[in-house]
Amino acid sequence: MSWQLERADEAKSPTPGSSAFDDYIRRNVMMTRLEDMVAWGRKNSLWPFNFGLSCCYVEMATALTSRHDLARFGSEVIRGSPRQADMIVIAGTVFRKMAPVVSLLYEQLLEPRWVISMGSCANSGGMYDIYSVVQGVDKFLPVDVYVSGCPPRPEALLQGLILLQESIGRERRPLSWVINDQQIYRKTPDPVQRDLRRADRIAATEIRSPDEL
Amino acid sequence: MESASQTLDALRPFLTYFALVMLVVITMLALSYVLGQRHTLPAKSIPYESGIISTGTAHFRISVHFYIPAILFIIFDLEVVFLFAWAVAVRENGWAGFVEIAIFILLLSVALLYLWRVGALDWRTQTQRQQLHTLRGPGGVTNVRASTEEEA
Amino acid sequence: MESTTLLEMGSADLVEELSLRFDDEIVAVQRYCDGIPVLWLSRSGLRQVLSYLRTDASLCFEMLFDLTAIDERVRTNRQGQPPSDFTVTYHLMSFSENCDIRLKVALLQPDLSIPTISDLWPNANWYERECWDMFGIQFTGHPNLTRIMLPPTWKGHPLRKDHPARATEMEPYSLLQEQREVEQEALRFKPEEWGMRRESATSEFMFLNLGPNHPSVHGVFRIALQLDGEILIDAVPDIGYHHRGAEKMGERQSWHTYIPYTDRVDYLGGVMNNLPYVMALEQMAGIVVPERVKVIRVMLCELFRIASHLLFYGTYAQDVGQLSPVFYMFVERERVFNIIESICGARMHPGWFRIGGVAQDLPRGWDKAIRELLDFMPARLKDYDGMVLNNGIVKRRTQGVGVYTTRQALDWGVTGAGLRATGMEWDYRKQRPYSGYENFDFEVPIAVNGDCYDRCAVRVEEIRQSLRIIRQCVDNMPPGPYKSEHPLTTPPLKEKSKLDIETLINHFLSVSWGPVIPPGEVTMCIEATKGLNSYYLVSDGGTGSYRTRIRTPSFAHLQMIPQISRGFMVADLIAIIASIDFVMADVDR
Repeated sequence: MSWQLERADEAKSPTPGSSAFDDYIRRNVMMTRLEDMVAWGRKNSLWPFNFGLSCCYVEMATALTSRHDLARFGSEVIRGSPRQADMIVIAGTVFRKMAPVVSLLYEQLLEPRWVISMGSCANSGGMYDIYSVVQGVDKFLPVDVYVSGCPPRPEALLQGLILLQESIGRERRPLSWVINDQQIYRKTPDPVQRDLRRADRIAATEIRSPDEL
Repeated sequence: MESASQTLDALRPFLTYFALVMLVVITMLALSYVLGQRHTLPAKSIPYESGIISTGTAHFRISVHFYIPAILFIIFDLEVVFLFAWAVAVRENGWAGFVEIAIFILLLSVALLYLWRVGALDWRTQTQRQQLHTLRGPGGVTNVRASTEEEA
Repeated sequence: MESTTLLEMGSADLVEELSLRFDDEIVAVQRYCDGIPVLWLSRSGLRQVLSYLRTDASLCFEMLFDLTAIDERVRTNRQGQPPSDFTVTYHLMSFSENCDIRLKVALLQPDLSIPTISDLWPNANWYERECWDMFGIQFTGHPNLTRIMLPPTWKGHPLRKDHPARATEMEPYSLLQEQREVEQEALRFKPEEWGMRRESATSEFMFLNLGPNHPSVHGVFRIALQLDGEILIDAVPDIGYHHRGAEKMGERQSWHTYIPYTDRVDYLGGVMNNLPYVMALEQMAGIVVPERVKVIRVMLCELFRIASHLLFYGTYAQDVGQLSPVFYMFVERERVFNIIESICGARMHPGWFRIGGVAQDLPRGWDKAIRELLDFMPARLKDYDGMVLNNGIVKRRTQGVGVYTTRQALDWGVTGAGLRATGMEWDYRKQRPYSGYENFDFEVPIAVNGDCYDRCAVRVEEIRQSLRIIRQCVDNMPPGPYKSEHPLTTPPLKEKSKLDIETLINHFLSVSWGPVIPPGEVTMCIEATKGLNSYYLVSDGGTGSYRTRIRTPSFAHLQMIPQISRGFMVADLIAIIASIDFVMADVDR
């Protein structure tokens, strides 16, 4: 679904004699397919679940506060109950004692639901290759976006959220359990940011020295 | 009969409204039943208690700790019922009625004042009251002067 | 070091007194480089000696600071120590006389049992449970010896030397449906195990999980509540949901590569957590750091103290009901993080201190941002005072709630602002100054009521005192090297390693293999953001630690929650939890 905003003083107002009708329609009427609109609605109102395990939760909380403001991206309300939330951010290390709890909470999240794995510990166990830590939350949960960092900066979490939103915008869910098969259609597997940015990184030659502010 | 068709005419807006409301509600329920996906997972039907399975049920004998405010509410609610009854016929009752209702309200206010002073409206727990008594001073830091604020 | 001579002087007579009185119970006496006397006791004489030390000795030890164990089965350098397979260590602290003593009991397999001391010091309860969980040592007479850190279904005792450390050395993790049900059933609260009745004469009680996933418990912490309507009859805190095995990780990492793990123990404290660890190593290795290093360390620690207390302030206000102040405080935290990032390179977990110094010198222009912060903060703190501390509703909700006396605090092992709010003016930075704190001019705020409001007020005043210390650091930063030139400094000064082959070899070996710290034991304690944080390191002369014991303040604080919240309502419990200022990684490590 494509739409755009124009500044009021820059927009050319329709003058009589020119193709005003098409212009008028373009500026006031939006045509789209139902599935696109539903996907747009879903992606721009991802309500996170109030869930945090460890140090990454502090950075997630920082992302929710005024400086970084996750609410701009639609994650306005943090829900206390999993049944009212769309998205769970596994922020922090997944401990063996906590894993059954996380799994229970994930099951209680109502569809449609998405999982962002935040931080190295949730991605793969991180630097904690130790007896009491599960080596990655994807051992028992399906993950949509992995945000790397220890802890990831709030900006990194925002980027992860934007990637998730774009991915949700591209997916199609069945209309009804009565008529379709229960498959979630995703067009292509999502690309890894590392591969996308490799060319830029290799081309960079200036690295700022840490000796000066 | 004539009066029957008259009443039917008078009722027609209500019936139309009622039918429309039922239509909207049934559409919403039917659509939400039919649309979307169906998933059944074992944890979905159990109550949410911070991720742990709860101990005991929700049906048990609750202590009637707040019965005093409940009873007081009943009493003052009935007072309001009488006030409503008087308010509907305020002009007919005239000044005599006003004086009577004022006496009524005054008596109940005296009762309320008594309850307030005797502490029936204070639902604090025993421990809360005890620990409030042990407080010394207004609270806060006692040994640092506000000299640091003068510096800044 | 001045502090060690004080300790030695104070406790020399005590050791004599004990040796005379309990001659047959004391097996050996030792003294390590931190100056704390270590007495080895026989198991039968343990309770006698400990109760004597608690009440009757010339020096009374009010607090059981730490109780832990060491698996000595593969330790090679044990000169002067009696034979032992498992050593249980008791660290007692005297606040009135400002000295410590350490008592050890040697246990031989297969008889790994020892009498409990949870009736002498109430806070021994959880420490003994942790020892049982980690080592398998039975404490006879303990009211409820169950696992505390690990799930109830765990088999084995992790800190034993024969238990695998890495998750990759164990079977790959999977969570199938049946397994989850078993685990959840094991986690479920059973009131009978804790001696709770299900009903009173007139009503039944509700057992509610203020569970691991709850916004008010500040992390993965669970309290099982026994409620009569709204009033709390009893509570059982359940920890271990955040157990990351930091102590076992110490045995797997070298002395140098363990530094990032210390950062994440109190994840709001950042570099402040590196400090006791590197100071302990420096004491064992005999490294003396330059003055500039001390002042840089103090400055960064105080910056992190401000950041941590601001977060506490914001979440405290949020839990009591004010949803706005937390946003303002987080903006201040961003300022502090900007400074820390420009100096250390990372926001939350810099891991910037090194053995023998700090990682790099301060960048040019470092003081500008700090001076701006110092000018800006007092006015903001005044605003927050008006918003939070002077707010009538906050006062009504927090004054008189969760009160405890100094005696109770010492019994339960409470340190830090929680102790100072009861009226005891005791700050480790003043009592036993470390890292140059004796040169700084600051006050130690106290309050007298010991309720939630006072704990918050004390921490707010500590922010002001930290600003004062930072101003003194900025004004008086001494010039000089940012690392010591001692050979065990890891990694050594870069300039030297580029010119000198021995230094280069040293650099390579200490960064890859690890610096070889001479054998010994040391305890180093600091006044961290949450209370007294101490590292007890045992070195066997290797490149890594033999045993790393992290005594964290929040572990003791959480134990006290049922004590101070019985008879209150659930909303008061939330205020109490908010005022304790704990971090789950600090509790479970």
